[in-house]
Amino acid sequence: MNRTPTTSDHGNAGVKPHCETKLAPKWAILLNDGLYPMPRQKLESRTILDQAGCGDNLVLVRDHNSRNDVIFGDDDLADLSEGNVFRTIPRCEAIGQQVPCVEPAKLAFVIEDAWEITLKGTQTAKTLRNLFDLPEDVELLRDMESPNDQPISEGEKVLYADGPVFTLHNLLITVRVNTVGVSFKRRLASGLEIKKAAIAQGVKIEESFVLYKHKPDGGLGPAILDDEKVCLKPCDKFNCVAPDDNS
Amino acid sequence: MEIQEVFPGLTLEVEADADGGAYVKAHALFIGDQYLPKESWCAFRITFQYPYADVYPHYFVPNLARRDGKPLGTAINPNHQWQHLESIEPATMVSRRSNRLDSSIDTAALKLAKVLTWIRST
Repeated sequence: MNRTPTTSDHGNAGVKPHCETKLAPKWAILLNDGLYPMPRQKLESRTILDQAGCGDNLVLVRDHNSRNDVIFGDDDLADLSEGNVFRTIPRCEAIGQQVPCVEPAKLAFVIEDAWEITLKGTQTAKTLRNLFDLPEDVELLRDMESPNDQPISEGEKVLYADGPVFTLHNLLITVRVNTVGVSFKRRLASGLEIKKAAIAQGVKIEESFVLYKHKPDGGLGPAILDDEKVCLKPCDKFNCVAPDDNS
Repeated sequence: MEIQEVFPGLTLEVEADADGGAYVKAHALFIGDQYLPKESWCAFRITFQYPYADVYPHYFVPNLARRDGKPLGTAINPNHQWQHLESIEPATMVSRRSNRLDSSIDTAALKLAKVLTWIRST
């Protein structure tokens, strides 16, 4: 249960600090096509059913890509990293020996309370955007049990097992081109797109100018070609200068 | 010095001139696999009018050649000399002028970057 930390939390040997527990990803399940947030990755089947408002006459079944779904006893521990799509069946139907299930469990990725089911546990920001039909100018963040949600970079692998719940953030990245602030609504931009955006936002340059990016150590990177993609970060610095002429 | 900040780790020789300018020589710069040698020093003078005057021309190692044997091309002139306070050295002159110099943006370091970008792509 969430609670507000107090000063008495400090210095209590053996007690896990509240802030540590908040670094965990958020979890959610899909039960009978309804979405339910869950407090942690591993919990007893009965706890899941209770939180979903299911009576004692029902038992939990994890939905696999198979007819032989996995039935959980009330005290069985369900690890949501192994699958988070469930249904219930009447307790009387759960009697008898269960056939082992070798097929993968269905996985529900959740973004802003919408969900999509897949069997693929490894995604990227791009495949998740496609799965949810999201525009490019929103940033994907893994929803954590803390205010510090984790941004997902473009090429990064997104593992279901690391947490299936995500939020969206409207991107607005401001960089400096010749000391003038230039804002972008997406993270990836080509050299020409950076110059065009800078011109549109009042920087006195031309599209034919040569664009350079400052490296984090203050050094100057190589010239950025017009069709070269750059991953923009807030406060990135660029210089854009007129090309020279032979003389 | 701004050039040192923009090119961290670069070995620079700097001689101050009597007018408030400087003679600068940067060492071991990669100029492209298409050249023999592919690394060179690059020397230039920053005059006292800087930043209102262009930093130009730039000098590279003497006897610079293309690996494929073709001519060096426009703006790369062999048989020149790098003249500075301490000596006169044979050099290859690269003559790239900033006709649209903007003193608020163009710096000696950016000019060096532009010249290197150009020579590497030529």
